[in-house]
Amino acid sequence: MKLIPTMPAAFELQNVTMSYPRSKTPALNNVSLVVPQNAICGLFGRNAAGKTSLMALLAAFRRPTSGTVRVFGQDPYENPYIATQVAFIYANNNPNSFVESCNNYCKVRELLKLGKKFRPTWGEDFAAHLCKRFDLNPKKWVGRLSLGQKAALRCTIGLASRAPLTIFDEAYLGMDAIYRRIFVDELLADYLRNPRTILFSTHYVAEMERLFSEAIIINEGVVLAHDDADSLRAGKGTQNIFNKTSAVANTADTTTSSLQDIFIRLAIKEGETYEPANFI
Amino acid sequence: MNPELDISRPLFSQVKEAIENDILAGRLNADEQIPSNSQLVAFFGLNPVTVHKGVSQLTDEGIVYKKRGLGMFVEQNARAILQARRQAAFSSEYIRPLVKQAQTLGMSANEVCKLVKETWTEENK
Repeated sequence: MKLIPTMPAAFELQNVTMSYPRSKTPALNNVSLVVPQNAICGLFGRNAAGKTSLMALLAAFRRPTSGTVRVFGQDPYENPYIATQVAFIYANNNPNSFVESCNNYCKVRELLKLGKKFRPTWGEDFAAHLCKRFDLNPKKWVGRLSLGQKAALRCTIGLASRAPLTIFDEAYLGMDAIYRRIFVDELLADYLRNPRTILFSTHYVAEMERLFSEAIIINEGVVLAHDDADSLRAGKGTQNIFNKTSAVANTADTTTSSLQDIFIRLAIKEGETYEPANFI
Repeated sequence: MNPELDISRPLFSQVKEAIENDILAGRLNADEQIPSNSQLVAFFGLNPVTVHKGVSQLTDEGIVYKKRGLGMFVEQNARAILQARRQAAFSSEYIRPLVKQAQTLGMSANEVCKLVKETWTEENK
């Protein structure tokens, strides 16, 4: 099914290529994508596939080498309006992470106050509610939080921002299974009250299966598939550079595969195997 | 805890079936309100697009109707439609696998009929 946006797309990439200095292969290679507003979009890709690069373009942390990026119809780069509309929540190992840089300078409560200052859409009560659900002590120094608690803090900031485009890049790494479930429940509940566009990258595809209304699968800087989640599961219209279409498209209309299986089928390298090792 | 969903079948049709099952079992009667989309999202932990797709198919099929500003309600003849539809599929979905299994186990048709009757009386008690 082709998704036809009736309002300006949440974001749109046209023939976007992005290369890092001193790197032979581009991180993103001629990527074109349109994601409508209020989608909950999964972004799946293998390690170093270009997920974070794509997200960094939308958050205007980087500029494309060529091609155009539009967020809510505008160029996001050095755009003060778009800056208030986009929240980018990092994975915990990102050295640029704002939360990391606050370690010894602020307490949880103070960090959340900053959110209120910078975000016109900030939900103060919602942030307090999330702190309670994640058992985050507002009086604690950020540097004293455990890996999982820091992830919960980042997720709290991301959700409470209620930014029209909220990007979670492996944001919940380190959170335990119960907190992850709470995170998804709170995300869906608040989405119903305040619909917004959510772009969500994760390697735990199976666990997040139900969350996504659409999904993008990228590999080596190229989009392998992008469709609404149900069509992807049904294997309709999936195309990729290796011409593996047949493996997916043969499935009958009534049977579906998990997004995880679709992802593995599309992103696996020629000759690579994911069958269990032979122990005989 | 969210209910288990079968990943080998479309998720939206499982939302649809859950509501159909409630109508068939008499937990939802004619002109009664079905759970709101938000309640279904929370119950299944599913994204709203998939939930909406399931419910709107029920509308298209004349199983539920919309009261503007109030929500979705069960149609008068919903139960009859569903019963007819499920009965049509009963043979292929339940009888055929049952017969196949009985044949694999070397049971006769009479033995199976006897078992069905016995179980029928037990369930009626």
